[in-house]
Amino acid sequence: MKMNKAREYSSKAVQEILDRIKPEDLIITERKMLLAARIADAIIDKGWNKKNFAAALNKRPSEISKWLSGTHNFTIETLIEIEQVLGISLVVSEKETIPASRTYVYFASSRVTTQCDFNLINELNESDVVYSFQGKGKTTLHN
Amino acid sequence: MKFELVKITELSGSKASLYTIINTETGITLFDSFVLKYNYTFISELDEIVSRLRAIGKNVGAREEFFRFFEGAPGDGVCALSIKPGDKLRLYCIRYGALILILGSGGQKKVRTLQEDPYLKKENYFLRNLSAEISMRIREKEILFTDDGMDFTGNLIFTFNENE
Repeated sequence: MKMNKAREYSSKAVQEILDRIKPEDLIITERKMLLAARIADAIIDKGWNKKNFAAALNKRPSEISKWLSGTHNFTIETLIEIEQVLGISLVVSEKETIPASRTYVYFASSRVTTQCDFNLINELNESDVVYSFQGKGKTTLHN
Repeated sequence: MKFELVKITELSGSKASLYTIINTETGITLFDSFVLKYNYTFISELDEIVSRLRAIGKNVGAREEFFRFFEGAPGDGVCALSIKPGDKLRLYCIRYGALILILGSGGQKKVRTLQEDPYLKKENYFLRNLSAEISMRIREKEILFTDDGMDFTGNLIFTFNENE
């Protein structure tokens, strides 16, 4: 029996929604989910499960589930706590040097970028595009 | 009624393939019907859902943490896309690992349990039936995954009664 792949379907309804969403909002959603993924991977790398991670931070497992859902707005304080418990970098200040050989995901909420001078850099594996937020909510894209 | 599994081009990417099911008679997909129904009443929630789905396809994959489980029968993959506290729209999906997601429909969560909401229950149970049928076809080798695990191949046409 010939095995056919599913046919591709273009959704006008979905495209209309994508067209009305601001590009910066798409980026924010993407970054939240990448951040959650980074934390989830680091928990596994440490040989922990969500319960262990919750206990280390004195949080309920249900709160950890919310953190990892990709919808949560982290405060800087929480990100730094997570960094220390998992031994990873999530927030980098402008003056730190980033080794080129390591992959980082950095995130700060849009609220924070208007108040603090943090570099937000996300290295994407395949396209080698680097997104950078530099203080005051400004965004630049560069290769 | 006949339905066909189709791949949504706007949402699929290098990290995951996002499918939905199209009614071959009406030409409307389950996911489009969900979008069209709530497009004017839940604009910001719908924007968030579509943004998240796009990120799943293009950037992060259908990771388990992004979904709420125990929405279907045990082990059938039926789940709901996680939403922010306070959001009301629930989208049911079938997840096949991090690489394939079938988008169903859903609705506004008004009551505590699925059984108390006839509309949500109907949408949820349709996906459970679809999941069961796909599982059977996988066992019978009528449906296979591509070598990279990103797509379905095979018999992707389904027949369901209107009330299923």
